[in-house]
Amino acid sequence: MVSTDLNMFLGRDNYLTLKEKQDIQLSGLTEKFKQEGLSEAEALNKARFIVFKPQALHTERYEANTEPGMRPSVAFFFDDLAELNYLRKFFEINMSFQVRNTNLLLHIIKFYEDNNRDGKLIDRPPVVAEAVDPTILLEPQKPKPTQKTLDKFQAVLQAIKELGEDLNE
Amino acid sequence: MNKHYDSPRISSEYKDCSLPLTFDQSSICQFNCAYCFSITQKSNNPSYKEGIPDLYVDADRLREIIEGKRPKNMYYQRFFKHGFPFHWGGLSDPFDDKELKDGTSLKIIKILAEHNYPTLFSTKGTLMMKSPYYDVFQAAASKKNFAFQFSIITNSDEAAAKMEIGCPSTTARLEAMKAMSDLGYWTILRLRPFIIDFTDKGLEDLIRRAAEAGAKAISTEFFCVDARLNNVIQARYKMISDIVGYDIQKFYQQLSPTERGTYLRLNKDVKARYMERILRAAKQYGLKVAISDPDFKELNFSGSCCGMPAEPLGPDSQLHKWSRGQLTYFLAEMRKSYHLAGQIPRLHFSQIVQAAANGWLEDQNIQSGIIKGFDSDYGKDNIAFKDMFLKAWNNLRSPGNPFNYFHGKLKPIGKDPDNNLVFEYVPDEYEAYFVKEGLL
Repeated sequence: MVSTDLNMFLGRDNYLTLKEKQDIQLSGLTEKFKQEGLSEAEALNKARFIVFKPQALHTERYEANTEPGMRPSVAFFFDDLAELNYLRKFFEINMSFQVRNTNLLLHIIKFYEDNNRDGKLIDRPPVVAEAVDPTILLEPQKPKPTQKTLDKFQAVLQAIKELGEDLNE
Repeated sequence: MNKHYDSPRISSEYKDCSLPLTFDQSSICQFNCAYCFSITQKSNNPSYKEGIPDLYVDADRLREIIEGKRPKNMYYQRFFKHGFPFHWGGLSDPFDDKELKDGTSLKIIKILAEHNYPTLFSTKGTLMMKSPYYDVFQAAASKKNFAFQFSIITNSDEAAAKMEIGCPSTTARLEAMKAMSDLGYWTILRLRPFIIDFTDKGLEDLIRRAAEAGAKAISTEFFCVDARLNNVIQARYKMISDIVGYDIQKFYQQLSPTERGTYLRLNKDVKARYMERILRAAKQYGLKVAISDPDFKELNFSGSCCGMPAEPLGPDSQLHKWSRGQLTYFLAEMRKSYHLAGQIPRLHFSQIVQAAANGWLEDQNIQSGIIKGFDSDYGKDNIAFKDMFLKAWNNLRSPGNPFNYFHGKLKPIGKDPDNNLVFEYVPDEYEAYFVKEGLL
């Protein structure tokens, strides 16, 4: 399974790591906002709004022709919420790098999968193999990534390569 | 106008509810809690624009339905005839102080006791520990067909007095819980609604006290904010905000996923740390945990998020006969299946329909009967609850779609031969951690 595999890859418990990180962020931001003049409760809530910001579900990716008038999906089987959310957390925790751009994440998953096929990284579940249908990357509705995004993407790819090499040593 | 209150009814939460046969003896609750779901709903209901009339159920008519003297009655056909558990106290309280003047609850309790009818009472009242109520419950105790959910959301009597103005104190409710536990009844701490920065203060002490009062289970759900604001709701949210020390509306608007529609529920990341505290305290004090919240629902000890037992409590007890044909049951089963077998389970709509108690989901008379009762939308005539369920099941833009409602916990992976969506379970990191810690 995705989460278990990646936790093994990390060698630690991601739930706890995330919680610890959230605790640190909450206390740090609360203190910062208090220094800016907010009350304790106001500062805590402002920090919560940042730390616990809800993540979108990308519902549109699952839309099939189930109802008249609904937009057909180019890749019904594509998305994997747990995977995307995991990778977001993975990069935030390990590389202090926030991946908000879903297209960038898709590139990363594809890279991940390609490496798996070469046997360099951990085994991936079949659902991910379905998920990396490259047609999604050609989806016309999605904007092309900016140069800044591509630069970040290259940096992340390099970091993954290094992690993968460490694992295979 | 009908001089009697029309109840029972089918819960609007039937898609993930183990006890869809829900009942209130009265149209108005006297307790007047600041967070009251019933007031929020009714204040947005155009049929109550002239105010809410103070009506009571016709106990004699209910007796006739339970006894099968109205054999064509839809509730008799699908529920009462089969001894399906009756959930009492959805929108008002069976044991509020109005009952002392009216006595409708007492009449109905006697009918239920006479028939050993399985009933779950949801209450903040304490009348059941006083005569003549106590005498009825004492006489029926050996059958174990009554269960009690005591709603308590703070360990502090002082805090409760601010939030739940007309209610007995936390301490008094725990005393009533003990009285019913001592009679041998299944009692539940209904930790709902869980309000952050309010319920979490003294949380472990409250759970300990509930365990000492004999509670067997906790049923929890985090508070929800209705985005359909009107003057009534705004005044109540202002009151709650003043008590908890932050703007509850803003809090929910900022931290709730938009996919669930206008009934705002906080995202899972905000709630996880409180959920863990509940699980730890429940383990320490030996209580089972049921979760009505759409987040963490898969962690339920049984498929009943009200905290009802899954197995018979005795030879005459029928409290375990709740419906398995609903999403709470399947989510809990899917989690267990995943962690035991290591394979990701899938869910088909046909599984839910097949598991629904006594085929109630497929009965067109129920939906049509309700519509006619309210004299409203005849366009929905001749459809069953199954049809309404299916509409949300296949529409990924509906807040009621499992993907949206459980915020990704079930994800669509294809269609079945009937052209209905098939969903797949999505495990989270915390599940393995809670299992490792012995919390599940």
